[in-house]
Amino acid sequence: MSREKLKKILLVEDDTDIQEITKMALASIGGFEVDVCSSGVEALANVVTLSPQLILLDVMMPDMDGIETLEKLRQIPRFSKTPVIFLTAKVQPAEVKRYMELGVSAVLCKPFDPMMISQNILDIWNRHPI
Amino acid sequence: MSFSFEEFSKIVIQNTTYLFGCIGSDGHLKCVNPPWQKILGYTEEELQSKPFIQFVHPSDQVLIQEMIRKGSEQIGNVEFKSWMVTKTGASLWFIWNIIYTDEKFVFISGHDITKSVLAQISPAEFVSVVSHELRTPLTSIKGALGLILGSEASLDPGVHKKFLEIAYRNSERLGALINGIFDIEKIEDGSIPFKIKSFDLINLIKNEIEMHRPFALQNKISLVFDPPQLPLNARVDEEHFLQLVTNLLSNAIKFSPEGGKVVVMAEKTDDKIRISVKDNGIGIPDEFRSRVFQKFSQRELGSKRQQGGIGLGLSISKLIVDRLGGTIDFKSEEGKGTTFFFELPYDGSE
Repeated sequence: MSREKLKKILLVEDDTDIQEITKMALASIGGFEVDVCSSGVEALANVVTLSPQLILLDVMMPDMDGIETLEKLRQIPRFSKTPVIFLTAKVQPAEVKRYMELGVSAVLCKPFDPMMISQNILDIWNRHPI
Repeated sequence: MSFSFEEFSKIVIQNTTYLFGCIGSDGHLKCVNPPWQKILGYTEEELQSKPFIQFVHPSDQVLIQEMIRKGSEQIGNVEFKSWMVTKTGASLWFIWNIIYTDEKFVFISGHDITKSVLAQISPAEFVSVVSHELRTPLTSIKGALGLILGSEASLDPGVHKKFLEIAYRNSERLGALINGIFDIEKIEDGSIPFKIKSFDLINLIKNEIEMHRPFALQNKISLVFDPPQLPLNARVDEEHFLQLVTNLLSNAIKFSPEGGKVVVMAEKTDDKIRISVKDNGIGIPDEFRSRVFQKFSQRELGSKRQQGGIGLGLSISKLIVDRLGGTIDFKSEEGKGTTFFFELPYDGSE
């Protein structure tokens, strides 16, 4: 079974400036199709319709943080194994260890290099078990 | 020398910081120990003149009513927490223990835990939060500049400008954060000198209000100050007093709706000067009240946050007021507005 090509990414991020930067970096440099949700609640409400292949999830968000969003996402059968990457500024070693234990594919640290992030995501996608 | 249990109880009850009282079947306090008066500010007669429930903050009254009512059904004790309203209108967070007996009275003991709840976050959490708060604007700066540098030739001029604006806006935010963190640390560890002198606070406030008028106008907010005719002197450090007024004014303006009104008042009460800043903004949610003066607590407001900010202004304000020997508090009704007020000792020597 050959690996699907990564095309569709969902970015879940509450900071509008970071939304803009990340979307531009992924779309114009990586050539991905990027949908953006501003909160975990919005992401959970729309994830089935948007049908992303990979989810980039911020951790510190209002109302519902990335960890709770991930837990709820895993309860949706179609997304129980979808690769999720935490894109976060909460990157103390103990915090990163905890995220990895939750079963995310990787943790990308803010600030990130906008010219490299698409390649980093592709590498993670290619490592992810089919 | 030895005490009888009665003598021991009497000394403890009179000198403790815990409130002890009993509530009769009509809901009125029948007996109170001295801390009730010291902490809540009412006289003994006032405390006994109306039902206990009326000293409880409206948001907690239903809960307390239920707790007291249960006294007729059971024996034992129950612990709970509630907000109490002092005579000056301040809110204090109390932990209560209600002792139900088979008598007609409900016995109640309470302790003011406002300060312990206001305690700052732990050092480890502080490092984590500061790191997060600094990295967030840096992400936008590095991202925007990185995209401009990496794709300059193909970048649309409009997008180019937008990214420069993002970088600029976030560098301002980062600068404000760094200043705020340094300010708070320096005031906390006492390394920042306070040049205390007697000032007429009315003059200082008037100037500060004029400074904020353009910001208020820009947000379509009317800024009202009706100063008393007489000077009100207090011993303050001018720079930090102005920072305190600025913090409260800019918050009030930021959190008021378009067309709103911010009212500043200054008055002398006994030997104190009380300054208040009232807005008709979104108010502070009940569940957030205990954390208002904590560092970076604004982030917990989530979507109700609306107006960005670095979440340090009120922590700095509290530190300044503490250092000037005063008190700061607020009253708020969600959806209707908030009044922040602080009191400083009046200086009558001038």
